[in-house]
Amino acid sequence: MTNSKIHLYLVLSVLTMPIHWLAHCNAASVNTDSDHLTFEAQVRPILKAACFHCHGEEKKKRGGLDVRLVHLMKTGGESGTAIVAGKPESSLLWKQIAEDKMPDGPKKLTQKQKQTIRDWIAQGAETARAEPKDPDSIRFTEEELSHWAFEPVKDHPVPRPAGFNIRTPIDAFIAGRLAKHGLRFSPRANRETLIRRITYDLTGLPPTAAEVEAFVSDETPQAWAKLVDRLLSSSEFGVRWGRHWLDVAGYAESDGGGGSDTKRPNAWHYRDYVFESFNRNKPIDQFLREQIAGDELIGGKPDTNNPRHVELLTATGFMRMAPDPTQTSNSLADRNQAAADAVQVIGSSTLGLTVGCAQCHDHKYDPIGIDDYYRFRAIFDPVFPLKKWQQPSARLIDVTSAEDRKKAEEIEAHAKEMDAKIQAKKNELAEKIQAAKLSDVPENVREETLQAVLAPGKEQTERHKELLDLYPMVKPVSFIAGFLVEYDNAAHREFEKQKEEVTKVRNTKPPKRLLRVATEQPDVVPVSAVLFRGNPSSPGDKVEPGELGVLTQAGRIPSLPLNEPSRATTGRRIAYARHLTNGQHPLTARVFVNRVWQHHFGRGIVDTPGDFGLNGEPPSHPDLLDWLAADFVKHGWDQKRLHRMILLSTVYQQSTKRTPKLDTIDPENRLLARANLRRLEAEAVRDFILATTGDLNLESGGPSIPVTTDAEGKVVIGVQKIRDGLAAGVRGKNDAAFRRSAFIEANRSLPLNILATFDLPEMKPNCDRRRSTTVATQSLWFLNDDQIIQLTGKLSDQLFTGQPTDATQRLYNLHQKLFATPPTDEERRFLSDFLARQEELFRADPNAEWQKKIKAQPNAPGKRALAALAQVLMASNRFLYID
Amino acid sequence: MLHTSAFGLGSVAASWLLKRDGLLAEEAGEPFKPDLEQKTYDLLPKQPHHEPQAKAMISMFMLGGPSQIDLFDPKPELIKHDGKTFPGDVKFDNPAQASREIMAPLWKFKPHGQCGMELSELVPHLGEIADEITLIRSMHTGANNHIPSNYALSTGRATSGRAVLGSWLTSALGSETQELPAYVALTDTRGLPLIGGENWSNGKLPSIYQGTMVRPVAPRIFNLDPPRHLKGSPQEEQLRLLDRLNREHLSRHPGENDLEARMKSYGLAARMQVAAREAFNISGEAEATKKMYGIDQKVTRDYGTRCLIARRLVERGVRFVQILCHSQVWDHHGSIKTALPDRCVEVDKPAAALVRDLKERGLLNSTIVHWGGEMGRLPVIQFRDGLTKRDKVGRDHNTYGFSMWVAGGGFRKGYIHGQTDEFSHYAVDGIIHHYDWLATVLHQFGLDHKRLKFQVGPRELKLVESPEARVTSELLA
Repeated sequence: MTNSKIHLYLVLSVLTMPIHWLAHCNAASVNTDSDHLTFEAQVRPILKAACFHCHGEEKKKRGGLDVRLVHLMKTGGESGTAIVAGKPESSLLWKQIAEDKMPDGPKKLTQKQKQTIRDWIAQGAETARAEPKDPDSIRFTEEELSHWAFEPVKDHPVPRPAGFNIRTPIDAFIAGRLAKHGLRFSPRANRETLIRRITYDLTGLPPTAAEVEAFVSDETPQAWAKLVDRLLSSSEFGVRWGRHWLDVAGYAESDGGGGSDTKRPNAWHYRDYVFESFNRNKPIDQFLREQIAGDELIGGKPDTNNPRHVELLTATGFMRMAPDPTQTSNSLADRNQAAADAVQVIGSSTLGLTVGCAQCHDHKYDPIGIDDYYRFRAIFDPVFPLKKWQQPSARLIDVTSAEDRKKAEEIEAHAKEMDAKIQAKKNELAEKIQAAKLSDVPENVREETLQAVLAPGKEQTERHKELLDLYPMVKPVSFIAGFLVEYDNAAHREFEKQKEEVTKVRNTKPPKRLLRVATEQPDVVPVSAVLFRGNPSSPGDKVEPGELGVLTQAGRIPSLPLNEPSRATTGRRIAYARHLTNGQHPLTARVFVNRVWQHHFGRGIVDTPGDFGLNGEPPSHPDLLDWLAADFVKHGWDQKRLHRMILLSTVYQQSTKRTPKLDTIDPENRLLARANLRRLEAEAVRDFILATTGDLNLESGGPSIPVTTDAEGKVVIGVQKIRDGLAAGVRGKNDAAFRRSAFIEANRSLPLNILATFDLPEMKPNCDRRRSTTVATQSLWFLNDDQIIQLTGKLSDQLFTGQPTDATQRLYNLHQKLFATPPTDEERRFLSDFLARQEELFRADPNAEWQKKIKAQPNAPGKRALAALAQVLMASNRFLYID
Repeated sequence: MLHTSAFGLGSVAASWLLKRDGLLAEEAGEPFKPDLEQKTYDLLPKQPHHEPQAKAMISMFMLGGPSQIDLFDPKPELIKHDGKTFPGDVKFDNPAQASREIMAPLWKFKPHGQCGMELSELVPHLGEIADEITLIRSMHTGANNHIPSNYALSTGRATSGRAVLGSWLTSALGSETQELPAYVALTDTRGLPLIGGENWSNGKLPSIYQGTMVRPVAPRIFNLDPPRHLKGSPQEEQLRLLDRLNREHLSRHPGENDLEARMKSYGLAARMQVAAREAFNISGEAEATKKMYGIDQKVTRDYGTRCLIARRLVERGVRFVQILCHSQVWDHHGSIKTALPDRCVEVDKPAAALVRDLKERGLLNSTIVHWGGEMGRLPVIQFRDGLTKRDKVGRDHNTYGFSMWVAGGGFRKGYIHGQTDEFSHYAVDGIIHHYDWLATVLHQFGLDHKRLKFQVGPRELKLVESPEARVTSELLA
């Protein structure tokens, strides 16, 4: 059997093992066969991650010991032999790790890892095959190179399990596994649950009452399919799914890194590009090519009046999303980190590999050498030339229309005139002040003091300096004019007012359209090299652009040019992008379909969507993953088709309900015998609340709504008012404040308070999988935050306006808005009781102003009670989780 | 805290290690290691580098720059030269109103305590605790305006965007309480201090190390108190209904840990409301205690209350408490003769009471109490609109020599450190730079300023960057 066959055999044999065991094991231990351990299969991966660096890869081995091969360990180092086969107690290696003397860093081996090594020594310290003499001759083992994700995608036949409700091939794959464990699909969720689930999934919003009504009452067999199609064609689809891609791309509207986190006011063009691409169902292969090499897809010079050219340039913003502080902090280390972060984002988003881990030394888990890393990075080096670095502001491309440009110039000219007039008046006043200050100086030295003030710094005599020191309040006119706030505050205020007028004029300028692009500078072809220990000041061996070696097995070697003479750019990226999307690449399609799966089911088939390598989780359904990837490619990388197939499946439409049997056999639901309960993501918490209260503003695209901090340091929507260079309150943004969360400024250091509270991820540099926490601050937000109180108050008012008399109907309407279903009789009863008690409490509130209000509006306590109820319902798990 | 991770204890331990690495480990040789691992941060108590003297700190920050000349640093030469021209170089901040006319201290000094510490008549209560404090007369930042000097003293450098001392302490040491914020900023009823939230900013440290601003009036913590109309029974009813709804929901989703955790988080939120409310509620304090803090008098009520709350917070395990004044109220460019006594009377009694109260409760040994501003003032007159009468004039900024005091946490008692020149303009002897001060405070918390680091991208953040920074052992008992 070849190695890959052994591997496949093992994967298949795992299918018969208890499923909870599978869910916990990692790639290395898939091969565990406790009867027979070998160095290559079980021990080397542990030593590679923990020990190789000092005891092998570095030229000078610590203690003279090299642990990369068993015979080298037997030979040993300065302290003698490291292992005695069959005798762990006499083996130095065991003694060192048993007492945590090694590894000597803060990370020690786990108990399980230690046990594996001990057992292996006890069994005789065997190798899988004869070892070579030279440790450098086997940098990577066959075990590593034949990891499933590096093998080509296989076209598995669709299984035909009997007795299941098979709607799509997905069902067949899932059912096939279920049958082996004696499991069945869970019943279909009810219609109210389904429409809420799918509307959240595809748009990030709750369904409206009318939408629920239409679906629930649609008795035709096509009802579900119609719903799927309606939502897939909604423009909110692009906002929701585009946002998922923005996580992967590390979308941020500030520079990040170690600098001052400068804002990126032009990043939104890329956000809109992504949303539109998803809405137009752009084939994903094309989508990837545009982002990696949009500029190279334009033949010749880009024409900024050509919308297609603008789109392609905008797409390259993808490579500019990573942290990049070089506008304010532009050292070689900063540039190198910015480039490395960008390469890391590209690697994790398209390849699903932690390529960046090989930046300083060989990858600790995957067969990716440091030279592999720099070959891969060389594909992008012309965009990130460390020696010919352009700062972010120098990379912007202006695509403003000629008409807008002309208009802006005219307005600017007018504003400049206004500025000049103000300055002239200021100088006039400053001259008067100077004269007054001068008059305080004794007459005999007055003229001399004035000369001292007027003398340029270099020409000042000792006498000048003496006079300046003696009469410090006499200053040049320009100084006084600039420091007017101290000399004549009233006049200063008046000038500030006039300046505001100028600002108003400037604000009428049509905004410039500036694109943050990634392209190459003409004739800049950096020489790429392996950077010793990742240090940009220590370039070593030169490298040429290339795919990761492990992905070129079986002759899949792309031909990447060094510098294509017929192009303005080197042509490296377009060649690589074509290779990535040629349908033969082992990772591109797998990684993408896995992400789609992840967002529909709460976790991917591979649960580490950014790490398909040896340290990632193995796929729960490898055959299905391959089938999906192959099918996706076969059908033109059609994203919406993939969604449709998933959504029409029986698997997707199952209930979330756990049962004792399911929890025993598959507590983590890796087999998908039910749906997963999911908490709303940060953006959805806010958008759901706004949609429910009717405040949501669905305007799409354009510059982001700015955020700032209020006086308490809380991040809110709005613009900081500035007075004398200091913060002076926040100016709100009215309707814009109710835009969807995806259009609120995504500032790294200023995440909007409500979004941060509900786990908005930090982009460092990107995010493959969001985490959701459950902390008291979230509860306090729902109980007490101003915003929730205001919004539920408004909602209650609306419900009263719609139904002034019928309390039961109001309760129905509220419940429907929140949960897409009316309350049950039981619920109606105790919710009404709550309302009655609250109303009574509010009526008895002795606050004088409130009592005055009740007199004027007798239904005020009832309104408050309904608002209090709406607040509880929004805080409840039923609202916050998707069933 | 309540989130039950699918990965169990292992990942918690691992993240703790990672975090400790990020803060403390000195890994030589791999300066450009990419930052790839997702780190998580918490506020659980952590081990310092060495045995600490102090566990908590209360900083009474006097923004604006109290006049050391009129409060802490008596200079007979100034009285001798009153009204004469200053003989040397003056570092003015505002030349528009500058003058070189020397102004003697406007108040009298006399010795206090067994140590004989000379203090002005404006701070009589401080005089009563003179034997408990270290008075530093030789502070120096050299950043001659409020904002830069404020940054220097609290973040180690005169630039914006850096994390303050309190954030560094909580990131390195965590908190002794999980029901109260680890780091609390108590603000003034009259408004926020200059630069607002930057006074308790985490800079580039993770945001959980940001100070929690406590409002000067109820609700003292944001979202901690219900809006007025829901307080009491209505919210209790709400929580009851919420619990019922969540229980029913859970019964339809048996075994969903996350749902259970969220139900509990409302319990924790309710407990936090109670714990924090309890900590902020001083009504149970003895009348004598309240009187000692001046809470019975209008002029000292606000500051006294906040000092007392600071003690209660430290008692309950809070690591760092800042008591801040509004805007830059000690910035006496004009009318110093009337304004300075007004300021002193508000804080002198409460500040002294705090030291006394902590001592009585056995907390002073482990709590650093600090009183001081970001600057002092010049020995010469600053004209305000050409006024020459002494009752309207003031003094301009001086960051080249100023005073502050510190008590508890292992600092020396009844000790005066350092000197300024004969006119109290420049510190000349035993100079304490802002970085020396920060290094010394860290040292008392068991932290080595050279090892306290945080990695962000290729950049290593440090509170104390100056290679000249020195733990000033002369200040320590």
